[in-house]
Amino acid sequence: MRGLLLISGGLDSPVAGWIMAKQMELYSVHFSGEPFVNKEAENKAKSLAKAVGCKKFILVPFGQIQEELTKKCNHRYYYILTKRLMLMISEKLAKKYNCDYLITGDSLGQVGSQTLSNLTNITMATKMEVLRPLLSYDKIETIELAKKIGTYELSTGPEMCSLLGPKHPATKSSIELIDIEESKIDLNGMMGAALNKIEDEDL
Amino acid sequence: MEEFTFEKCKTKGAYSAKLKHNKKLELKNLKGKFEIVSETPVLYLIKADGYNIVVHAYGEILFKEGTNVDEMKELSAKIYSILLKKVY
Repeated sequence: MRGLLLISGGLDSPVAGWIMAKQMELYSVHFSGEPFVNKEAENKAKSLAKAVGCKKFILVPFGQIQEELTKKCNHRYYYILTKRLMLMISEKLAKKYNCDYLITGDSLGQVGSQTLSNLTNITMATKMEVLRPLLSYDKIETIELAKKIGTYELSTGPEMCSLLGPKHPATKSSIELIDIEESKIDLNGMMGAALNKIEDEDL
Repeated sequence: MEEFTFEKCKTKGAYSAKLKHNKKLELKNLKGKFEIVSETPVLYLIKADGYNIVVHAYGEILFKEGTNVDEMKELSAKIYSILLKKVY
């Protein structure tokens, strides 16, 4: 069995990976925010992926997609829309790399996109099973585990995933509203362009 | 000259300028003054004096790379002077 870990380089996703690595082989995917961020964020994600036992690191250029979403869609739904796109792209990668599950570091209520309502609508972007081993963890528990497994220090390094995000993201959404926002962009075109430029390496 | 702080940002791995008092930045005033790499409603990515710079509408300026603090501070002051618009 193989899982595809969506790794941002923050605190949570490496811990989620470490937990699931006990149950299955892991590959990892990182969505790069270049040109808005520098290489440090990518290098950090790769180091974390290796530290938690991922066998492969897949890099998806995502900066242009983030830019497009910011320009064309209601900015309050930015995090929901980006996470949905990440799951859609990850589903295609999972098929390509024979992964059975998607894994994320989401936990309930920490940020605007991680309310129950939003997580439900985000998950509807994929038909695959999405494993969220940190769903009921609070931040202190995650930090303690990160310190225990040795990813805490590295996770506190460079990360710019919220650079384009809104100050007041939507904490509730409906699938109808999301459909309207997604109709404003060329979803398939953007995903195809990103998938054509992926890079991968064995860890 | 507008007052701002300038320091290395731990979470972002870059040098960052932040205004001491919240002001609205008119990002479109950057056009014609700097090379615009990317523009969105919330931030612009520009090139200036060899630096790649993220200018956020809420007032933060981030230098993606760079070690010459004096140079970056001077550039930040220049950017702020071009962009600042008082909001009443």
